[in-house]
Amino acid sequence: MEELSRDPAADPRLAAALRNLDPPPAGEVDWERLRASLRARAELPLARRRRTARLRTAARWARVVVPAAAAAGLALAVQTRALRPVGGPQSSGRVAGDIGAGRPALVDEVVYASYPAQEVDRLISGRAEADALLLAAVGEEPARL
Amino acid sequence: MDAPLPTGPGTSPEDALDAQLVERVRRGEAGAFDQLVARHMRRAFGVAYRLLGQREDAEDLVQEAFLAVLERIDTFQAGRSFAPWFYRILVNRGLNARKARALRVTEPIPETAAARSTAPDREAERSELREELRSALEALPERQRTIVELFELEGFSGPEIAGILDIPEGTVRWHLHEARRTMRLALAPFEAKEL
Repeated sequence: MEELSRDPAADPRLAAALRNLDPPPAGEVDWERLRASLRARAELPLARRRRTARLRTAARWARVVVPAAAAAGLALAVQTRALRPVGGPQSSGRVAGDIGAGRPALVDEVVYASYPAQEVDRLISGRAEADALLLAAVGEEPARL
Repeated sequence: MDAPLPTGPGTSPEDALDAQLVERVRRGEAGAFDQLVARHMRRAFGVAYRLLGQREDAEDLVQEAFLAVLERIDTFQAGRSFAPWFYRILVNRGLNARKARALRVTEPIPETAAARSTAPDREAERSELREELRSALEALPERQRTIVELFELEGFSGPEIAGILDIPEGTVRWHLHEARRTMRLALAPFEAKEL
């Protein structure tokens, strides 16, 4: 019995007998025609592959470029805002808007505003209402102080 | 730029070249596909012809198999050999075509016994041997027939056939052993005649 743990040795007699049964008509085949036919039939699928490959490349670049561009834009916006001069004490409407946002402009408003000394004393000593300083700064009624 | 060559142990230069071509075909390079065709076309035709027995059918099968490669090339795992994967596609399609044709056509039964008793000369005996062998080959289970054709006629090794048919190597060897035993029995009456 033949060894089944490895390929059996070649059997030239059997192989020759089998080969003589129906030899492939390799000489009759027009290889160039077969190849050209395959080239023609493969054109469309290959064109689709090229398109897909281009899209993949573009998507790969986009994955890198878009976040980088977004980050750069954000950084530029932050930088621009940081360099912009803050508003002066002349605009009470602007200050009113800034109160809610907790903007540093309010401090300037208070510093530059001119109030009677008594009122300032009460504000500083804490005897005024908690928000009196803020209200005074934005031009609300300071009489309650 | 070409893809790097597979560098795993046992990677042959042939496999490495196939791998490069496959990678380029994935990107849609027509030249790479043409090269891949040129490299495997002749052997593929041999296998296709063994499966179908008709030149035109074999040519059609070869074309279908290569176009199927294009369709499925994204499923081909990089680092593996292209040849077993490709021939698996070819052989599976060929076997399906053979089955479909067997349903449509009833092949003539060879007149073996009558021919043997009356053949007087050497050529007649050769003809008789061919008929006997053909009959024995066609009587083999389909898998055994495919294995013996791939091994004896197309020169594929056991591991290659295992890859093509997606079965264990031991199963290939067992089928080959059984097929050879059957074929030798068919040859036995002619053994002493030095045909």
